[in-house]
Amino acid sequence: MAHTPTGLKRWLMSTNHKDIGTLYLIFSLSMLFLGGAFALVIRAELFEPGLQYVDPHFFNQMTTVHALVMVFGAVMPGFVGFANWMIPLQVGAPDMALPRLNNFSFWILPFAFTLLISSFFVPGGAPAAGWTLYAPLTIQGGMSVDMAIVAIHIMGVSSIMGAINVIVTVLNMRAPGMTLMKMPLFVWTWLITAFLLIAVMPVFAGAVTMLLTDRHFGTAFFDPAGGGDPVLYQHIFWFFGHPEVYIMILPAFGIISAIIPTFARKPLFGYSSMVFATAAIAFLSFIVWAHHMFTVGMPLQGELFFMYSTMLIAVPTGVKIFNWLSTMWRGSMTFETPMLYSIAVVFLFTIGGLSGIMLAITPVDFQYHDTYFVVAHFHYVLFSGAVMAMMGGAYYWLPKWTGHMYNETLGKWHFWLTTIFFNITFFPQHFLGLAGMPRRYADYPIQFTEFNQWSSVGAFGLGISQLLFVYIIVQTVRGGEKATDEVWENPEGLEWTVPSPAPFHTFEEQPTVK
Amino acid sequence: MNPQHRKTAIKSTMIAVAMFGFGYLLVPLYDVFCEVTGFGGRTDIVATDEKGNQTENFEIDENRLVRLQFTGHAATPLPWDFKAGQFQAELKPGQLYEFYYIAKNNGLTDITAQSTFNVTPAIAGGYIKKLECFCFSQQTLKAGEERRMEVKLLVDPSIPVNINELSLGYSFFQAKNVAQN
Ligand code: HEM
Ligand SMILES: [Cu+2]
Repeated sequence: MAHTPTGLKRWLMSTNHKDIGTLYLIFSLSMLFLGGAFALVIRAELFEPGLQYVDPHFFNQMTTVHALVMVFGAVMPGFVGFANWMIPLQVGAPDMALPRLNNFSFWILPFAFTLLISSFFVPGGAPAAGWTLYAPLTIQGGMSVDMAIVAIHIMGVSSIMGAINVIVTVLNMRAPGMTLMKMPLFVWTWLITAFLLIAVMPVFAGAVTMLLTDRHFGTAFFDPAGGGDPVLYQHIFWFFGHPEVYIMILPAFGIISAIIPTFARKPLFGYSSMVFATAAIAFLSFIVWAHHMFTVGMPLQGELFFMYSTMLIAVPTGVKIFNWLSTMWRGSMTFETPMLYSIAVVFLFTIGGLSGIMLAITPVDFQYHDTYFVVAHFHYVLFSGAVMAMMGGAYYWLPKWTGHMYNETLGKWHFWLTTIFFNITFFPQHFLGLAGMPRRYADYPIQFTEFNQWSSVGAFGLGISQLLFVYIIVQTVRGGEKATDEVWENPEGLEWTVPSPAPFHTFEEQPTVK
Repeated sequence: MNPQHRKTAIKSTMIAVAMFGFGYLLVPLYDVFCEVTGFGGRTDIVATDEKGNQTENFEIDENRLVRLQFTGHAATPLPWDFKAGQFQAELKPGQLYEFYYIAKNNGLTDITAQSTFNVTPAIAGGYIKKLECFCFSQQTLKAGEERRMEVKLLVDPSIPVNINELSLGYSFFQAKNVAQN
């Protein structure tokens, strides 16, 4: 019988999917706070018109690094953490297929982010060109751009390895009897996400490598001085960038598809249509990228193609929303914290989807592009989609992970504070954008003051509320009411057949699924 | 390692490696795409023989006039003055037209620069056929030197009837050693 390693060695050398999952989740939460701190610098500066606390160049560093940290540090590793913990438990496998690779893909992440963050201390400061790192601006930046490029390479390698691990595990290690169409939806969404990752992360790696060689090795992919084209960078970036946004939302769809049936006490409505909708979204995500570039001067045919293909994505997305609603329809619902989060995700993500449709209309996007309307859009899909789904998932599986129930009252407080402050922060940004306030500026004309003040107050509330999240997690790890193996009332899935807390080794003998 | 796992892992890795290559493949693909569609304001060239004589002929459309407007711009930090010798011109589609820009190096050293060009509306790019252009190669100006830079082009008579006004923009950038495209 294998023993449980202890101390520092347990974590540094870990090849256990649960420990690595925990490491990923802790890392993700830390990055949420780091990225959040940068966001609060932005919101403090924007509380009033004029320049108060930071100079515009530093402000631009904040917007850039905030986004890079949130996307590559908080959201993506967070989902990998969930994948590590839950995929083996949900498919009835003893561990991930490639445990040593798993260890490696986690432990290179802290290096990547140390590199990115230390770029604040080099001459010229951190990258300030926006998370999209558009050329030609990034051809001109200081050495921090090179540091960011290397950091992105490391993050890319990490997520590609994580994705390969998921693919191998899901394809080869499912318990006997678990056919593909019997897999929990979280496993499905992650499998598809993993394919998206290995398809587009290398393209992004290619784009930043071209930037790097343009900067230092005399190539001119994007540099007009040598015959290159800056718009080409945008095409390559968004060829990665749009599938990337689905990489950040599909696992969230998986999480809430696990939670809603449990608390509606009904099986998930339209399971196979969910699987096909996920696959359709993933496929379509490759042919819509230029909706981020409507204003670069595309021919009419191009504008029309990307407008229609983008709108087409709303169809499978709508299928999912209706399936969640139908699952809840006439269910005997109860509203524990994970369920509250899931319902909020369905509602608020839909708001983000609707603003997305507005942005997809080419002629109006000429007005909305690069305004706060876009900022509002992607925070509705990313914060109240991806991040809040992870919060819901954390409450849902925390009892399985720790063996203790979390404090339900505090959980609900955390939910309501988060939801209310989130909306106070981001809803007014729709109006700011429609009124013409551009994104990524440290200052604004006075007519935008009030909405910005709402937004800043909301942001500080939202940030502070997350301390409660940490408190609840720590409290649950330390003790609390003992969780049963099932935790909830008749939840579906193999993870509920193992004891709570899930022991270090599970499913050494694979269960059989009927 | 379990051989089945190894097989799946190798296949997935191969996809990732291939997609890295695909990222680079997008560069020539984009180029071809622009050439074919005129996307990005790309222009076309008139076929010539090795002596530079025109081998491709167009019939002049006597019933139309297309107006061309010219702009010029030297990108910072290039210390050049660069402007069109004429503000605009009207020409018949198919008619060969010559015009020039004036560039002056205000710097204290000899400088080599490369010009890019752009046509608006982008869709018209493919109908601008160039025979000769200073933008085909890098240009070197001695310190203080001023020079006329010639362009010879014609507008393809098959240009859609709704396009009657185009602007042609040239921007000079300080040259890098390697030209990519
Ligand atoms: C119905 C689905 C959606 C549609 C129709 C849609 C459409 C769009 C469009 C047209 C833009 C470009 C706006 C502009 O820059 O002018 C945009 C931006 C963006 N979208 Fe969406 N979107 C959808 C869903 C999502 C989802 C699910 C996510 C992420 C989870 C997402 C994340 C983003 C981000 C991050 C940006 C801004 C990128 C940037 O410029 O920094 N969107 N969306
Ligand atoms: Cu997109």
